[in-house]
Amino acid sequence: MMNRILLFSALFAVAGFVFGAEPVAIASADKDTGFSESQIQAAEQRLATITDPAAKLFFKTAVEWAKGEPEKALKTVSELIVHYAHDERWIARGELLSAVLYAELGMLEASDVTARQVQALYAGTDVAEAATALRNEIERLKNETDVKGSVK
Amino acid sequence: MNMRKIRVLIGVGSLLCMLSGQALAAATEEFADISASGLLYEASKSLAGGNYVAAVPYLEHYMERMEPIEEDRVVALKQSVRLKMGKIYAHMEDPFTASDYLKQYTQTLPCYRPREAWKLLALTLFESGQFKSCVDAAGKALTHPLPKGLPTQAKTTDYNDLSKNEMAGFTARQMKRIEEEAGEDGETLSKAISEDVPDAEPDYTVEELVFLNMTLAEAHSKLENWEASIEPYKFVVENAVNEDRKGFAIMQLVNSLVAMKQFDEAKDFIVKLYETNARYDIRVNMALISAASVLLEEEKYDSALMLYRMILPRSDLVAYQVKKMNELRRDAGLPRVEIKVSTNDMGRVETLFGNKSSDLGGITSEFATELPPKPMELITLEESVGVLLGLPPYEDDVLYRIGLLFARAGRPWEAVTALDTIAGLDPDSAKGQDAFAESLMVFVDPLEKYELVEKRGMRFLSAYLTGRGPRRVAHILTGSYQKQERWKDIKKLLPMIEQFAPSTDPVAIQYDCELYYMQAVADVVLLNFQSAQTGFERVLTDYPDSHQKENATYWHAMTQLFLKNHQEAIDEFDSYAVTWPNGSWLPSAAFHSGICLFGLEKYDEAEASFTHVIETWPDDAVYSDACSMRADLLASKGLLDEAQRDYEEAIASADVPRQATYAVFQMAGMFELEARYEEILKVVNAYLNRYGEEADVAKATYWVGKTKLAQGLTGEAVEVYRKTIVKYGGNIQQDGVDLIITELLKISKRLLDDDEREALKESLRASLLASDNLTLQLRLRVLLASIDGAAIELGKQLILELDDLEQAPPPVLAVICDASFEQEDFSRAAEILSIFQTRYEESEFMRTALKLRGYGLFEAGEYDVAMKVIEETQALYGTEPAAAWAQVMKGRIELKQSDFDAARKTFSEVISVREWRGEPYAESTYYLGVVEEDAGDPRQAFGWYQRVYLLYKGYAQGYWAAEGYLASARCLQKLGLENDRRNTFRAMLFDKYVNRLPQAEDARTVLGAEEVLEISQMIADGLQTNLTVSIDAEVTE
Repeated sequence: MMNRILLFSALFAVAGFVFGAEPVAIASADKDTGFSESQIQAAEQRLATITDPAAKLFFKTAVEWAKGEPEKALKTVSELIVHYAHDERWIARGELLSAVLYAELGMLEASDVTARQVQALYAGTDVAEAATALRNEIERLKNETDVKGSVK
Repeated sequence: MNMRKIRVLIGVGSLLCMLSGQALAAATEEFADISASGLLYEASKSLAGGNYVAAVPYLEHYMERMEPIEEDRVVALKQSVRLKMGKIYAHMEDPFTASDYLKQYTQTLPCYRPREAWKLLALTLFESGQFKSCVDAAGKALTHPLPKGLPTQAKTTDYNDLSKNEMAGFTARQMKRIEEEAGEDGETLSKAISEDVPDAEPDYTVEELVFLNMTLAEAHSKLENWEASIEPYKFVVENAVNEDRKGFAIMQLVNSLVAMKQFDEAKDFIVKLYETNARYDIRVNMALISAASVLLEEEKYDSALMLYRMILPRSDLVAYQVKKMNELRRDAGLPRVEIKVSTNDMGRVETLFGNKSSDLGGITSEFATELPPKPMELITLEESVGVLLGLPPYEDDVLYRIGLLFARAGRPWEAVTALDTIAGLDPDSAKGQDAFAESLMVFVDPLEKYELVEKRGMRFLSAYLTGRGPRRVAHILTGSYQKQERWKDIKKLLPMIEQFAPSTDPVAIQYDCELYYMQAVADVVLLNFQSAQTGFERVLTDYPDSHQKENATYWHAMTQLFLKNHQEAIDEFDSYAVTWPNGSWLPSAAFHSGICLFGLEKYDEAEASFTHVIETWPDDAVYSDACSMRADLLASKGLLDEAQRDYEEAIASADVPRQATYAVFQMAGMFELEARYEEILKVVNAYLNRYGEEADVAKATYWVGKTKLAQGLTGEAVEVYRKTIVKYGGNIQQDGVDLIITELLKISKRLLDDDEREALKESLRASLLASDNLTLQLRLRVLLASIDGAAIELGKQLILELDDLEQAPPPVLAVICDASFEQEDFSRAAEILSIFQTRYEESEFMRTALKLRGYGLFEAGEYDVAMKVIEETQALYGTEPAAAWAQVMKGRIELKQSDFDAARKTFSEVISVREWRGEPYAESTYYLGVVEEDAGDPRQAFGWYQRVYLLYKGYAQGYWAAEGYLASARCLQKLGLENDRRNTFRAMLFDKYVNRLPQAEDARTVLGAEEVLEISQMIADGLQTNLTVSIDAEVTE
C-alpha cells in the first residue's frame, strides 16, 4: 500500500511538531522497516509530558500507529475528533490522520469519506491538500482492485 | 410665511411662553379644556423630555378632536401626528398600534415621508406577526416611493387676518417674534409635528436597504416563501457591514435553500458561513441545529457536518456573548457583569447579570437608579443569553446526531465513539438506549466486531426488558448472527425475546413481529420445519396486518410443503394468490404448488402448473426450476425430446449455479438411459466451463467417469473417481462424492482384478492416513470396508464412535443403518431417517434408513407410523429389490390387524413381482401360510408352508424353509395327522438346507434320539430321501 512512513512524516511536517524537539525520530526512521523500538520509547516518554488533552490524543495516536496498531490508533484519534472538534490546533490534522488510518486498515471507503470531509472542512489549507493527495491514492488503489477482480 | 406655519408658531409660541414661566399642569387637566395647539404643545414638551408615554394621550386627543376637520392644514398636521405616533408606538414596542398609525399615514394624503413610513411599517408589521402585510410593506418601501399630495403653491399668512382662536391668544407682534426665533433656532421638536412640506426625503442608505431586505426576507421565511426569501437574503449577505447580521443572513439563506432542497447551492453558503464568526450568534446556533438535522436526513453528510461543527457548546457561546455584553456596557457607562445562575422559588433556573465587583465594589442590584439606562441592543442580548441558558442542554443532542452522521456517512470509529459517549451519559434513558443500539449496529457493519457485539448485546438484554431499546438490540443481534450464519444462536435469543415486557408502542410491536419472524426464518434454515410453522403462525395470529403478513403467509405455506402436507400447502398457496394477486411471492407460490401436486402424484396437474409458471413469468427466478420440473415429468412420460428442450432452457436461463446443476445432471441421467455418452460429456463440460469453481465438480466427475467406463476406459475412470473423492470428500454437502463412492464400489467388484483392486485400496488407505478431515475419513473408511465386504462390521464400530451423526455423509449413515439392523438396534432409526429427510432427501442411501425405521416401528407396534414409512419407501423406490421389505412388512401389519384379505393380497403381490424373486418370495409365501393359519384354515396354511420348503429352500440360507417345516408340522398336528407330522420332521432332518439350522432341533426333540441317530447314519451312508407329505381332501392318518 502507500508508504505510511512517508505519509506519517508528512503529517508531522504539517503538525510542525509543536513541542519544540526536532523531528529526529522521523529523520532517522528506516523507511523500509518502520520505527525502531527506541524511537517509539522516546516518543512515549515525550507523550507522558504533554498535558493538553487534544494534543495528547493526537500524539498518542501517532505513537500507536508507529507501534503497528492502526486500529487502536484510530480509536484514539476518534476520541480527539469527537470530543475536541473545536480545538482548531489539532482537529484538522486529527481528521487527516483518521483518513490515513482507515486506509491503513484497508477501509478505503471510510478513508475516502473522511478525506473528502477534510477537504470540505479545511479547504485551502495544507491539510486539505494532503487529503486530496490521499483521495487520489485511494482512487488508484480502488482501480487496482477492480482490475484484479475483473482479471479473475 | 404661510397660514399653516403661523398657526404652528402660535402653538410654539405658547410653548415658549409656558417654558418661560407659565407651566401647564398636564397630569390632571381635562384634555377637553386644552386647545388643539395646546395639545400639540404638551405633546411636544413631553417628547422633548423623552417622556414618550406622556405625549401619547395629547396626541391621541388631538387626533380625536381634529378627526372631522378636513382642512388642508389640519390634514397635513394630522398626517404628521400619525407618523409621529407610529414612531412613538414603535419605540414603546407596541407594533400593533404603531402599524395602525403608519398604515393610515401611508394610505392618506399628503404623505411627505413615505420611505420612512413604509420602512417603519414593514418593521412593525413584522414584529406584530403580520408577515404577509410586512412583505407588501417592505416591497413597497423597496420601490423607493416618492412623497404624495404635495401642495401645488405656497401660501403666505397675514397675522392680521387670523381669528383670535387661531392666534391662540397671541398678538400679531408676538407671532412675528415667534417666527423669527423659530428661524434663528433652526430645527425644533415641534417642527416634526408640522403641516409643512418637509425637505425632500433622502433615499435609503445602504444600511437601510439592508434592513429592509432583511425584514422582507425574514417575513418570507415566516411565510415559508422560501424562493422569495432568497434574493433579499442575498442582498443582505452581499451588503451588510455588520458581521453578525451578515452571518445571520447566510444562516437564514441556508435554511431557505435547504427547505427548497437546493443542497448544492446551500453547501456553497455553508462554506461561507463556516468562514464567518456567525457561529457566535445565538440565533445562528439554534438555526444551525435544525438546518443540520434536515441535511442529515437528506444524507448531505458533508454539509451537515460542517454545520454541526459550527455549533458551539453553550459555555463557549455564553462566554463570547458576555464579552460582547460587557463591551456594550462599557460603552454605555455600565459596570461589567458576570453570569450568575440560580434557581428561583419556583425551581426555575434564572440567570442574573451581577455586576462585577471590580467595577462596583460589590455586587449590587442591576436596577440601581444611579446607573445609566441600558441600550436596547444590550437588553436584547441579555434576553437572548437568558433564553440560551434556560434551554435544555443541546450539546448532547448535537453529539448524538454527529454520531449518527458519522455512522451513515461511513466513519465508523468516530461514530461509535460519539454514540458510546451519549449512551454512557444516561444508559437508562431512551436517548441512551438509542445511542447504544446505533453504536451496536456500527460494530456489526462495517466493523464486524461480532464478539464484542454479542458481549455487549447480551449484557444489555440481561439488564433491559422494556421499551424499544431491548427490541432494537435483539434485532441487531439477530442480524449479526444471520450475517455469520449462526442460526442456532438466533434461536437462543427466543427466550429473551419472550421475556420482553408487553408494549403498546407501535414501533415496539413492529419490532416484536419482526423478531418472531426472524426466529421462524432461522427455524427454516435449521430445517426445524414444525417449529418454523409454529413461528410463522405466531406472526400471523399475534400480529395480524403486520408488515410481515405477506411473507409469513408464503413461508407458512412453504413449511407445509417441507412437512409434506402437500394439500394444505396447495390450499395456502392458493389463498396467498387470492389475497396478493400481485404479490412478490406469486411466481414462487405457483411453482411450489406444482411441486406439491407432484408430491400428491397428480402429475398432469403438476405439469400444467409448471407450464403456467413458464408461460407467465419467464423472467422470474423460478422459471429455470419450472423448466426442470416439467422436463422431469415429460421424461417420465417418455417424451425425451421435449424433456431435453426444457432441460436446456433451464440451463440457459439459470440464475444461480444450483438451477443449472440440477438440469445438467437430470439430462445426463436421461442421456444415460439411451447410452448417449458423448452428449453427456458435452453438456457436463459446458457446465464446468460456465461455472468453474461454483460448479458441482464432484457430480460432474461422476458423469465423466461413467462416460469413460462406457468407453472402456476403466483405469481412467477409477483414477478420476479416486482423485475426486479425496479432493471433495471432506465437504459433507458434496453428494456427488457419494455417487462416486457407489460407482467405484461397483467398478471394484465387477471390473477390477485382484491386483487392481488392491492397488486402489492401497491408494485409498494412504489418503485416509493423510487426511484430518472427519467427513473424508468416514467416506474413505466406508468405501474400503465395502470393498472388503466388511461394511456391517464398520457400521457396528461407527455406532460406538459417532455420537453426533451430523458430520456423517449418506454412505456412512447407510452403513450405520445396516449394522443397526443386524443388531436389531432401532434406537437411532428415527434420528437417522430425519437427517436423511431433511438434508439428503435425494440420496440413494436413504433406503436403509427407511428400512431401519420401518422395522423399528414395527417392533414397537407403531403400525400406523410404520405404514407411513412403508408408503414413503414404496413411493420413492417402487418395486426395486431393496424395497421388497416394505411390501412384506405391509402384509405383516395387515396380518397383525387381522385384515386377512388385505394381507393375503399384499403377500400375493410380492410373489408376482419379478424384481423381488428371492428371499421376499420365501418370506411372503411363508406369511401366506400364517394368514391361513391365523384365519383358522390349517389345511390351506399347510399348503403354503410346504411350498416354502419345497421351492425356496435355497434363499436366506434356508431360514424360511426351516420355518416352513416347523409350521407345516404345526398344522398337521392341528389336523391330528401325527404320522404326517413326524414325516415332516423326518424330511426336515434329511434336508441338507435346513438340518443344521437351529429350527432342526425341534424336529430332533419330537423324533427322539434313537430315530435321529438312525437318520444321521442313513445320511452318512449317502441315503437320499424325498419324503413328502400330502394332505387329501379328507384328513387321514
